[in-house]
Amino acid sequence: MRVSWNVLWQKDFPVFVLLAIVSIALMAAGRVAGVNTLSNTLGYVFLPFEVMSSKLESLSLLYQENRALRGRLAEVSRENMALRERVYENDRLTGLLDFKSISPVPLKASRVVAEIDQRLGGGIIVDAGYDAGLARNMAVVSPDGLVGLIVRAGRSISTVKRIIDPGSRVSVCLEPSRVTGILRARSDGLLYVDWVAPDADVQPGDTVVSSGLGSVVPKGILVGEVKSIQEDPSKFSLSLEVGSFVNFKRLEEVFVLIGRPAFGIEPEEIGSPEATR
Amino acid sequence: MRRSLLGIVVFAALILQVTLFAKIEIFGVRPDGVLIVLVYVALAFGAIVGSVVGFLVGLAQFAIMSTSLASLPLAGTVVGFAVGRYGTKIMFESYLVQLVIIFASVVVFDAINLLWSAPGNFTWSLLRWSLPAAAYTALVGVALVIVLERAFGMRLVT
Repeated sequence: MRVSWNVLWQKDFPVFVLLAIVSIALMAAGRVAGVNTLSNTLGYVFLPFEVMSSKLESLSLLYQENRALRGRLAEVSRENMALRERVYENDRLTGLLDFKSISPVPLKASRVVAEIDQRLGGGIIVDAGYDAGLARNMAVVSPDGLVGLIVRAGRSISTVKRIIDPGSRVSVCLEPSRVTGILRARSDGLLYVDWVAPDADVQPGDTVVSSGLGSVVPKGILVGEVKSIQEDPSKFSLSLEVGSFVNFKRLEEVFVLIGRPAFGIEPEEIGSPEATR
Repeated sequence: MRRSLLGIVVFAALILQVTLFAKIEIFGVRPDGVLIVLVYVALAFGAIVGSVVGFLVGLAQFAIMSTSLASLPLAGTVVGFAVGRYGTKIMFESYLVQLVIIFASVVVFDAINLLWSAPGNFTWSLLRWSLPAAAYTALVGVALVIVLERAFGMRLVT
């Protein structure tokens, strides 16, 4: 086969090579300062459209959701009364046992304005950024449980990698057995806790909560429940399929835990160039 | 299509992508409106404009939403160049050929991004997300072009 070298001298080829070199340099450099500025500017431009689209969609769901919430409110009110009694009891017992008190973590409410295509890595975009105190590695929750972690905080928007997105990993433990493991999303979108000891006392229906190990996600946040248990003879371990408590298809608002973790890894400094890397 | 309208068309495509196209997913798969526009721009204006627009839309997508896909500008550049250089040499006036070009463009675009971001899941992700998205995008793209051509009574790409 003859190769025609004339292709190299046509004027479109040098343009292509130049752009390819710039692109590869961008890949090598990661998120450089210029891209951060561009990102913040585009964030401002596109945010109103994303918010408008999100609001239009949520209007249609509002009526249905309102009815469901009224029922939930009655249920929660009843639970609240019971929990209040438990709080008094807990305070009394905590004082007796001299446990270290854990202060509540401040939350920042944010609206989900867009969902990133799974082809582009998945995730959601929320309408708050480092101006509102958000930073990378902060945990994101919903009333139902853990949603994910902030992986990029821009000035006015932030990107959240959800626990169901490929590559996501969270240290978890099971209740009541307190067995620990790593929750990860497989590429098929299902959640699994892998590397659980074969003799561990786990049952379908066990609750999965964050373990606090690694200090990025605070301890005790609800994640989901064990759906099924699979034995993996080649790995000499159990693999637990987990169903998340969060309905990711209908996630409209989330809360970001903007407090610092108690110890270990801290969210990167708010507003610094590093915060958006 | 005039060159002066290019910026507006690309901007409109980006807005449509984050609003309308993000809502019409089927089994988690969405059409890629930005790639549809990129393909038709490259077919209409050739490889230079295709490369530049591909680079810019890739950069815009990278800046707007992606965290790790620094490969988006490269993928856009390659697709814009390839369609502009080689797509214009075939009978792209046929809707069937346009369908194939859009399908192939999405697959190439995703393959570059997957090789950069998730080489371990390359095959699975390509089969699960990229091929359905490519088929969906191709159908939506050609359908849109047919509707627009009927509405304006003229061929958009000749």
